[in-house]
Amino acid sequence: MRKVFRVEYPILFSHCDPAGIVYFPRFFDLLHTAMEDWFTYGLEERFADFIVKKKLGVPTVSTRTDFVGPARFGDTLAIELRVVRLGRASIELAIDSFVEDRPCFRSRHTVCTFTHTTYKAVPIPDDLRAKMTEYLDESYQAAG
Amino acid sequence: MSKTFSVERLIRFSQCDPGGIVYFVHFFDLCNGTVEDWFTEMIGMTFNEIHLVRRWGFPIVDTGCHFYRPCRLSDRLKLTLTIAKLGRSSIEFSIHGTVDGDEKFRARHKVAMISLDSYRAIPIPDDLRAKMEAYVTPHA
Repeated sequence: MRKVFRVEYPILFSHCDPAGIVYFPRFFDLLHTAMEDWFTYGLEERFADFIVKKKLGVPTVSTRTDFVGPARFGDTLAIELRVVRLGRASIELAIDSFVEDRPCFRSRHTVCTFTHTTYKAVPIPDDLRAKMTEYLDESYQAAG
Repeated sequence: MSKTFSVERLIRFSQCDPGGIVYFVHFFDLCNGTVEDWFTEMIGMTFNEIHLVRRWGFPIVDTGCHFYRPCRLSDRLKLTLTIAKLGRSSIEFSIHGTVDGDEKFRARHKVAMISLDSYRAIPIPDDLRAKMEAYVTPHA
């Protein structure tokens, strides 16, 4: 059974813009928070240790994100994360979000493992790769 | 010859992450700020006028962004905006970021004009469209 990492975050006053909806860069911040929580709780690799102690990182290489529906102050945003491709150093994630049953943003988001001592890509560590593989679903397509 | 619109931004301490480079989320804020300045300076309408007075909005529809190289603290990032496609209600911007000529990122940033009262798409008014058309560069 493939795993899906799911988290929920409250949409706060600070996420919203004068149009009354979430300012879109905050969605990327929430997406990143979901990825951090996936590391810490899903992969059991504390994200702060990964960055600070191991001197590794997962910078964004590219993103393609559709903003399907808005989210508003007081909503609860559910985020689901899957892995759709695992390269030597690159990780392509499918990250979908919902407010109740309504889709919010849908993202294909590629990061790579790198070391910030040299700013060069490094292979995904074997122990992490094994855990990431549990979330791998190469045929996944977001609904709708 | 299509027009381009450029702004320069100093990369601030607050935009960098514990890895010492710009946290990618800030690039989207920088793109939004470039669009905001373009509306003010080139289209002649501030975001206050658009959103709070006229009750229009330009929410994002989709974005695609490639990050080529990291940006660092105190870099002077030049952001250059053109329009790849101008639709009835939608504007697809092409925005790229360079530091001393070195390309850092390139984004497609598509927004659609809506009424903030109905949250439905509305056509871009002709007077605004006429000013926008100068920035259309289909292969940007």
